[in-house]
Amino acid sequence: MELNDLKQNWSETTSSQSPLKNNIMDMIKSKSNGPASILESKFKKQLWALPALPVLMAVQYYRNPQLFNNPSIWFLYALGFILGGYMLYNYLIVKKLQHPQFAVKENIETQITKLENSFKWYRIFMTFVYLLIPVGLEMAIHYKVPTGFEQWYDVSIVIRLLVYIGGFIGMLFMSSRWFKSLYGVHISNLKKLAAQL
Amino acid sequence: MQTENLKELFVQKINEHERLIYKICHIYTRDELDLQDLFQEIVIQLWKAYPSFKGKAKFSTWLYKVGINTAIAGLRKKRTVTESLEHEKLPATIDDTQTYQQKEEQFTQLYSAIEMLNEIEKAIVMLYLEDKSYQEMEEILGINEGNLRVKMNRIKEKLRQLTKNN
Repeated sequence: MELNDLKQNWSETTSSQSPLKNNIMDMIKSKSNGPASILESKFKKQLWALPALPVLMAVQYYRNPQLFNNPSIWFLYALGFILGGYMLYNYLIVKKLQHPQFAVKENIETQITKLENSFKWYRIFMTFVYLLIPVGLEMAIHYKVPTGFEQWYDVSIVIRLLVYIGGFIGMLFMSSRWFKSLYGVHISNLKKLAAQL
Repeated sequence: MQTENLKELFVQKINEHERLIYKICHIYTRDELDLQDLFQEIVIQLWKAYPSFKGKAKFSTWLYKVGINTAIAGLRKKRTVTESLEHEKLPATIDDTQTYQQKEEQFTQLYSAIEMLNEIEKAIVMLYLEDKSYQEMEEILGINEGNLRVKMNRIKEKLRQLTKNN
């Protein structure tokens, strides 16, 4: 039997069975159970941290303005805002992934490109954020700025460098694992599909 | 008010084309629960994408694009579609005597062979069974016509081998 012979049976089978027991209006009111939507709502929840940061800053300033003479506080807040920006970026990426109205090939290729670019930028971002910490600390030593980490300056430069390098390798490893845990299965599935095209 | 009108128009369109969604689900999964889940997921994705439907292409073409993309390439952790079953045995080969029952068995055998195809091949087979022209298939899948013809021949040969060997 050839595929041609199946046409009539396919038409009869898929027309005789009743697919719908659900109401379309109810369906569109319900939330998507797709992992993309789950990720989207997860990132959306994280976005609440963005307006929370300036509020926290204002409250802290009102209660203890002296605190803001310490550069560490400014550094932590800067880090917080950068992380907030990254959360926003994540949210937009997941939103952009959910546009299935393109042709199948285009959709798969676009998703692969977006996710690979996202990983590249994530690596650059994490490296930048990580480098800020040792550079900030070492500059504070050099310019004798009080940071609250004075004990760290008593440690020898060799040990400090080793800790910075170890931290950098650990950061690269952990960030890669984190990204793969979010998108790894999906990227490999997309690449498998692209190979079938 | 405008959203309500859009909703009503959308529901009407989906009611007219629900069989197409069902067919996409049917080619990718046989499990009843998965089928219902996939059906709902496709409807939700269609609704999300509906504002971007400008009516330049046929509604059915647009629906196939969203439906197939949702079924095969939606970001997912668990698989909602049937895996290609490379090593699974097909139902036993039957004689050529064309009784009704035997013909039904042959259909079952062919459907089982289709289940062993990869996701893109399944999409091509479904569009072929739906009597879509190569031009329409190109629009939906984004694979050029020449390549589609080659793929179609390979799929037919693959199905022939699968039904013959088992």
